[in-house]
Amino acid sequence: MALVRYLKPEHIYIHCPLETKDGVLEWLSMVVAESGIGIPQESLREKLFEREQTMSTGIGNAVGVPHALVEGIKGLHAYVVTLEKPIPFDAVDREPVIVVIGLFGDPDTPNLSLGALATLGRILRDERFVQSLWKARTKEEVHRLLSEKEEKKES
Amino acid sequence: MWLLVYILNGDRYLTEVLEELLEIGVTGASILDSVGMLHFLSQEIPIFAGFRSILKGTKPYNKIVISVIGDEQRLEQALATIDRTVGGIANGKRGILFSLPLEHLISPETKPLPG
Repeated sequence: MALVRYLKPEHIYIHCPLETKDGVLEWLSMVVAESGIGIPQESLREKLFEREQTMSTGIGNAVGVPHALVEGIKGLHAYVVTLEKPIPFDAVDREPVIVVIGLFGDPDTPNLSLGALATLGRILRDERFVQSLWKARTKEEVHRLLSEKEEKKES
Repeated sequence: MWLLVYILNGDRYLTEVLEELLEIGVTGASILDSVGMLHFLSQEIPIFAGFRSILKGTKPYNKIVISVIGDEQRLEQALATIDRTVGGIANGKRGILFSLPLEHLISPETKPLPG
């Protein structure tokens, strides 16, 4: 599926000076709440931490994909955060994380989130691609890289 | 000639379904164990682990009943029987039921192929 359709350029954050996994989740819940998604930060935060308790969203390859299905969210919303430096994320491969992609969806349409997670799982398996995301200097560059990666699959 | 396929979550109703099929003359079927895609992904692939909560209350395995049915009337009867036995497939999480037309069948009960 076309993930970039759910990613607004203003929801891309470059080289954020976050230092811990909890700090990332806390900060992400704050920026998502402030982005006008219509859900209070506390609800988002709670769902993100609840999901991490099931299993870490550090899926390996230096990527974290914290996500949550929250009552009241319409559709699907993606947020991309590149980190200033690698941070521990309890990842499945025990390696630190440099890129975080947050997904927030409607629990009534879980298939949308499933499709998006599958797309992310596929494109983020490419180690060089993750490095290129991390090294990107602008939001536009991150958006373009993701779009191009998705288009390669489509073609 | 048709292939009847009933994918049932868990094994509740399985015995009843098989007994009812026998009663209407469907005397041959195979029962396969399977697992649903979302169950598999949520258990095996970390990125999908969050979907475990959606699956709460469902069984982690399915039973698949497959049967070759020769005549259309019996097929219709079998479909209706299964649906009634499980209390209406459309009404709840009782699995999915479908049939497929079969082009070829080779079995001990069929005539050998020519040549």
